[in-house]
Amino acid sequence: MGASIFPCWVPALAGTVEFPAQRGVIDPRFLVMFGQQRLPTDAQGQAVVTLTNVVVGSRYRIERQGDGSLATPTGNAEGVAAASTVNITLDYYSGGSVNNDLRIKVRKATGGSPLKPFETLATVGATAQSIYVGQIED
Amino acid sequence: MAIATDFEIQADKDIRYIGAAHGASGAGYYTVLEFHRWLQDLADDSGATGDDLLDISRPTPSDKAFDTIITLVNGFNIDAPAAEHLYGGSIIQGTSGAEIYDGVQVIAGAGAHVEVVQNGAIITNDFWNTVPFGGSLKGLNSDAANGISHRFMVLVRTAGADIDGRRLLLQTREWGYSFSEFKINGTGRGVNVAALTYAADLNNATASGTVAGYTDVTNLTAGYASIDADGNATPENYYSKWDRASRSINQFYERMKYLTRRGSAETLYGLNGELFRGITHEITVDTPSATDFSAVEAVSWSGGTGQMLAINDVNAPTKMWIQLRTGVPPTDNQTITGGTSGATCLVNVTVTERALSFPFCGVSTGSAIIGAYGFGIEATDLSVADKVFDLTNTLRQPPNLVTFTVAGLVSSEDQILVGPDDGAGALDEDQFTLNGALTGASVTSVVVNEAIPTDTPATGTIRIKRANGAFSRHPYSAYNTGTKTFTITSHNFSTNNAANGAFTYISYIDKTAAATTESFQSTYVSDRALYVRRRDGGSTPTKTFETTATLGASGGSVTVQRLSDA
Repeated sequence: MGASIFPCWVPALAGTVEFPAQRGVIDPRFLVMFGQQRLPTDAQGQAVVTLTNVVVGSRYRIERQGDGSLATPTGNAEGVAAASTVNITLDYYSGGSVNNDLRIKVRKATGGSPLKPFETLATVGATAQSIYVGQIED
Repeated sequence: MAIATDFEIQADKDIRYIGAAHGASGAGYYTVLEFHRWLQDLADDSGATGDDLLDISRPTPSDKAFDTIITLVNGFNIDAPAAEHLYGGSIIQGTSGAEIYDGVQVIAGAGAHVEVVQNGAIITNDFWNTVPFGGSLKGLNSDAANGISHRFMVLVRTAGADIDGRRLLLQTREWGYSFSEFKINGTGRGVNVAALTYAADLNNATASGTVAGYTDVTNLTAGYASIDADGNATPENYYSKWDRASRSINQFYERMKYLTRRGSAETLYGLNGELFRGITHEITVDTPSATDFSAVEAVSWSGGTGQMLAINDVNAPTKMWIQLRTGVPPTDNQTITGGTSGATCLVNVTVTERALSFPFCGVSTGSAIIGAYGFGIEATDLSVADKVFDLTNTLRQPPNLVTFTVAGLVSSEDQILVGPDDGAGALDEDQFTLNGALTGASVTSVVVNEAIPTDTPATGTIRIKRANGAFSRHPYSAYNTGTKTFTITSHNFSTNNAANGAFTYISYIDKTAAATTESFQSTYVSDRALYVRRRDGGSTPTKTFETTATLGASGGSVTVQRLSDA
């Protein structure tokens, strides 16, 4: 989230002509407009990603394709599946953001039959999506 | 130790062995499947610990096609020292499988020392022959209950190229034990099994230090050699002509093993003894260059190399015999080039693979040798029990030279005559009849009507009935069974000649005794009945002694009696 000050009589001096998605209160008494807008790196909201058919006990990790860092909120982006369906709430960003491009890893090599690592790619958006996890025996 | 403590996974995805050295306490060895499981176990952890930088945040390290085929992916890799601690399959790594370690499993007697020949050279780092800590026999990852003596991996592909087509030659050449080899003609992914023989050689019980002194055993001809091993007057061809000198045939066999044993510093046909195997291929050639080949030299062609062990004509060859060293044998119309001479020729259609023997000389029975293909020993060093195979792969068996001995003689007194028996206990005077009278002043040829037996000694004497009724003695230096002709010392038959049809016989021993025993040697064909007569009418006369005897497959003998005739 960023903030900008826009002198109302010289908008060209504000350094941007973009119309913010969120705008604050305009106070004409000081001839200053105060607005608040989201940067491209700011989440626009949250959506639910559902992993189905997960072998219980599998460790999952959802990371950004670009740099391998955990998706946000980081506390949601990794864990151990307690049930075969795992609902994960994740941030999504403005369309085209690389932060929406995620890699989903599901691994389980210990306890019972070891399974081949499962990986798939997904792009999150405002709508929820379901991802079928096909783990096979290793 | 545990695999986690024996290996580390570095930040750059290098997986390295950090455990104890081979043979030391705690040295760890793991199957490729165990290795994969360990990596996967780490890869599903939430966070890396210790020196193993691998958890779910990192890329997948490995992929398993089968339990014995593991591919390290996403840049994870092992190095050669790490590979020495893995077995039971293959590890593939690098871009497009640029590097491959293939598994080898040796079926052999426990404790075998196994050499691996790759690309024409012995792999010097033979870590697989280490005696495991606490053990007493060589062989890493052995499983004696299942006859497995070694399990390990060998690097067969590097930098995206197979090493000599992934060919491996495994061999045992341990002193006192049987020699053997097993060729893997291109390893496959997984476990490549090699069966070797490693058993005590009862004909190789002499200390190697003793055999090291058998330096009088020499190869008189290294290369194309003619030897009349079967004594048929027509020499055969071999690729060697060994002289066993004063050594018995088994001592000779041990010397051959010594020359090619593990650790040999000897050179045979331009190769270190350890790498010498004998002829692997016989090649028909034509179109020779103006330059002559050497009798023995390295040769090469597109796709392979070899060591030429014999060539039937260095100037105009039609046959060449080689030991294949790398690659594949040449094919029709490929050019073969001599490494020393620079001479060339072309393959003329036929390339014949020849079976090898281990050791290269053949097999010893203890008292005879069963020779390898093309392995030649000079004829005088062979006995009837020996068998050799010439370069046409024809079995040649030396003749059975048997000796008949007359004993109990008094030197310079006894006159001894051994001739053919007529079957009735008398001398067979008409063994032959002359084909044409002998009347010349300088007769050297005696032609008879009857076939000359093939067991007739190469030289000796014959007796010819003369006009006066007496049988004269004539040394012969040769005979021809085809023309039925004896070649005798020139003799004057112009007087007291021998008539056409006159009786003639071979006198096998016909002399005054020069020692207490007299003997003759011939090639045994079938039992021959002999008539023996001894006389001494000198100052201490004895009665004539006459008897019959048989020259058999093992020879024969007679001891004369001496009864006074005073």
